[in-house]
Amino acid sequence: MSWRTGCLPRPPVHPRADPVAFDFGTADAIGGALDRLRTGIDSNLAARQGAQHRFADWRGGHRRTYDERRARHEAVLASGAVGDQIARLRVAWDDAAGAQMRANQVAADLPPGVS
Amino acid sequence: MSVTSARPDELDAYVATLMPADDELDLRAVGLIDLAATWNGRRSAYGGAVDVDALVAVETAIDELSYLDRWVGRVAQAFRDVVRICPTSGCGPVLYASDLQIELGAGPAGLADALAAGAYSDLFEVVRDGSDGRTRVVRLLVDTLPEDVSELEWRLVLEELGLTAESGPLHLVVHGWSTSSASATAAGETTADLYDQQGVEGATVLVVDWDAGRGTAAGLGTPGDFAAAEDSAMATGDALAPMFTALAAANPDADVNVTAHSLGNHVVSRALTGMADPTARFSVDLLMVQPAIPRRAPTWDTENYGALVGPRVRDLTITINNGDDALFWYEIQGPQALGDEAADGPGLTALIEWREAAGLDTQVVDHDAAAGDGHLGIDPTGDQGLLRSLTQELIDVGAGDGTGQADVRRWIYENHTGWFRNDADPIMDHPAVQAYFDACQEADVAPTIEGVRRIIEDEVLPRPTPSPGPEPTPSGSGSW
Repeated sequence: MSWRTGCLPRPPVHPRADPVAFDFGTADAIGGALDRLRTGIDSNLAARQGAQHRFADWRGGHRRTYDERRARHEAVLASGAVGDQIARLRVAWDDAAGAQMRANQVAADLPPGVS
Repeated sequence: MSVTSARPDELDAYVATLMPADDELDLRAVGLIDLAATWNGRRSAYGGAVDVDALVAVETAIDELSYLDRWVGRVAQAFRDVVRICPTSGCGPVLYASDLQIELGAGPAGLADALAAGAYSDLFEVVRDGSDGRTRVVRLLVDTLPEDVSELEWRLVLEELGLTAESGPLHLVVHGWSTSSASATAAGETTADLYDQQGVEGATVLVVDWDAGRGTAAGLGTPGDFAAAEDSAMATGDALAPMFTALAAANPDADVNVTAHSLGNHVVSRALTGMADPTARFSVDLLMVQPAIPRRAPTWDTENYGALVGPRVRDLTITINNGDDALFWYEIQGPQALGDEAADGPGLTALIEWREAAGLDTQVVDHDAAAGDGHLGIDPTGDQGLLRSLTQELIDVGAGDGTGQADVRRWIYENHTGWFRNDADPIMDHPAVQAYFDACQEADVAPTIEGVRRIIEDEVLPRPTPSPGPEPTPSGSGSW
């Protein structure tokens, strides 16, 4: 599933329409990268959780240090910060794609020779 | 005293499980901050800016967790290292120790704390910290090869120590056979001075200090000492490949220059060849000074030296001298060295052809310098005019200032080298010529052929003023 599944498709630019001020290519690149990071975080958190049984006999101050640090750093990863970026990007993508489609429609409705 | 317990084998199993997951996540974060900054710099009328600070926090958390997972392995080792009394049947799977014992053995659980506590002081030593505005110099101590440093750990440490060329160029200086730590460090400091001379800000020089033998001080054992040093160079290169991988992952577009001298070329060539490049964007500019590697290695042993004929080495400059006396030690035991080959020899020819086919520049500097018995050196001081010029040029090219001294140097070698006379190397080593080059570097202007010609005529090779002779007596024939 792509990061923009469910978003409007990237629209072409009508020959007589101006492109909207939105870099769809770079948006797609950063959205894809953020999505790969998000799924990577999910897998990593799952792997760490799944391996906790290895610590059944680990007790003492060092175990507490591990637990405290793990909780603190995993909280950052699980905070949804990356997902929030993707959500904002999706909204911007849809707004820009909608605006481009409207601009294309206006251009298509113009009589020939008028731009 | 509080008692702690663990099953070290289980802790190790945990680390083995998490390492691939941590490496994978680390790779997914490579270049993301830069990409986000690029995206935010684009005009968007519809929002969608990425919160770079939030991404930095995520990346930091990823780094800290990765370090923490590896620290679990150190805890396991600390449990094993504790002296204990066990029954003759052996210790059980669960080991006991005091918190203090494990704390001393495992070190801090956080990367920054570990560095502050000197956890990597056996690997990196700061020679100049740059606080006085001068270029930083750091020594990488690999006389003993680092065995348990994972690629991810390299990256975390390089980032923490500011060795990923984020603030400016990173210049590796890799010495050759039997060079002392003091000499190698001095070479790094001179190289750093040349960055300051050029006004390059934020640069760091990293001196790779590897186990290079004793040299001729080994007496009758000198050939064996050389052979051992060559083995050491190759092993060091292989061991440092993960460090280069880490550097490429941390900063795929890092501006990296390398000066490698003699056997040091094994180190660099093998490390660059053995590394992995997650983005395929990483490259270096490399100055190979009198390379003591087999002349055919770049094209016949691509598994270990192939980086030399690929885009990982963007600009390559090689100094050669087929009268290089020091490479004698190399050639009494093996194939001809690349640095001792004739300019039209088969090794160099193949190297250049392969690089040309890949669209890569190669500059071969065929000299007959007296410096170091024709072997040049690693320290670009005043008595190493050619090396100094080439180092200045390496800095120039990296700074985007064109070809630096290449045109002038080429003119000198083309016009002052002949069958019976070689003035080019004395010209390059002459203080007046070096002073001219240095002044140009400081003024950030390119030296000119006219400028150097004037210095040669006035100061280096002044024409003798003819002394007045006796008045000629006209002869009967009317001829002289």
